[in-house]
Amino acid sequence: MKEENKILSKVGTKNPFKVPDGYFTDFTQELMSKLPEKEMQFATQEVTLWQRVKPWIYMTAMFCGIMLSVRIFVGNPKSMESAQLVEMENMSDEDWENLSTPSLIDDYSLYQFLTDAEEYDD
Amino acid sequence: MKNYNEKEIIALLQEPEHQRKAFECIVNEYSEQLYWQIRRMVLSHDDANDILQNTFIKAWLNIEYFRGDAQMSTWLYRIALNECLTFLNKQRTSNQLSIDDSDAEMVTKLEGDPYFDGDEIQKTFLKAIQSLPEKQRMVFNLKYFKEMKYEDISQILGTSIGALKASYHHAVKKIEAFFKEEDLNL
Repeated sequence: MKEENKILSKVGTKNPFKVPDGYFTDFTQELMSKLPEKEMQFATQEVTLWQRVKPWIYMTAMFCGIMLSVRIFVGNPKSMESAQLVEMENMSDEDWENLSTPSLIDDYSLYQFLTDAEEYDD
Repeated sequence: MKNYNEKEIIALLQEPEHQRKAFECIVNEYSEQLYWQIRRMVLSHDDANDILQNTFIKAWLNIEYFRGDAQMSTWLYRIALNECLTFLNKQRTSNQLSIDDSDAEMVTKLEGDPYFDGDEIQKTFLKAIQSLPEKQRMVFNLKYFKEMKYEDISQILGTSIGALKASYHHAVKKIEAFFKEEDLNL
């Protein structure tokens, strides 16, 4: 840049400022003496009882919340069972027979029944 | 640790037992270059010294936030220049002065400053620089005196390279115009 070169040639980059003697030599030590101790902060940090049990309490509360939600939205399993019992009491003997028949057929009987049915088809 | 190795120093900063020693190396490495940038902004040695100390104390207190993604110099320059801006704003507010009055006053103070030995042309040059807006002054100082790359200035000031080039160009034009006004043709 033309203007930049003009400034450089006229004024240059000479530093017109000065510092007290030994300023930079002493600065580091002077500053380091003013820095707060960080290691002490690490050492004195104690974990309180509350901080220790906090995650467990949160986890328990979360678990209880989930359980409560399940009970509210899905319903009480015990009440479902009692409703089923009422229904079963109202069933007739014929319904019982129809309902219990398949459970009496074991695998062998079922296989025999199917074989007989095939022979009948032929 | 005579030879400054940034990677080693940053690794040592992560270890609490070596943190202080590592930080001392950082202070040793960067104090002088930061000082001159601060001094060019605030002009007075005492103010520059205070700001430099504040810069390193802030860096020390927040060293855990330095993750090594940026260069240490970039991080320190950013803190230092922010400290300068805070200082200049405070000074202006406490003296109830406008930006121009405050800067003019700072240059006038140089007359009796024992730590200034510039000639008339350098004094005019400083006045011209002080007439620039603060951020433009920072760009000019970093580019002209430190010959810093625009990429690095961009990281320090968080400004795009294009905007920085434009800012520097305007700064140079203004300084040239200032010299003309003072009947000192470049």
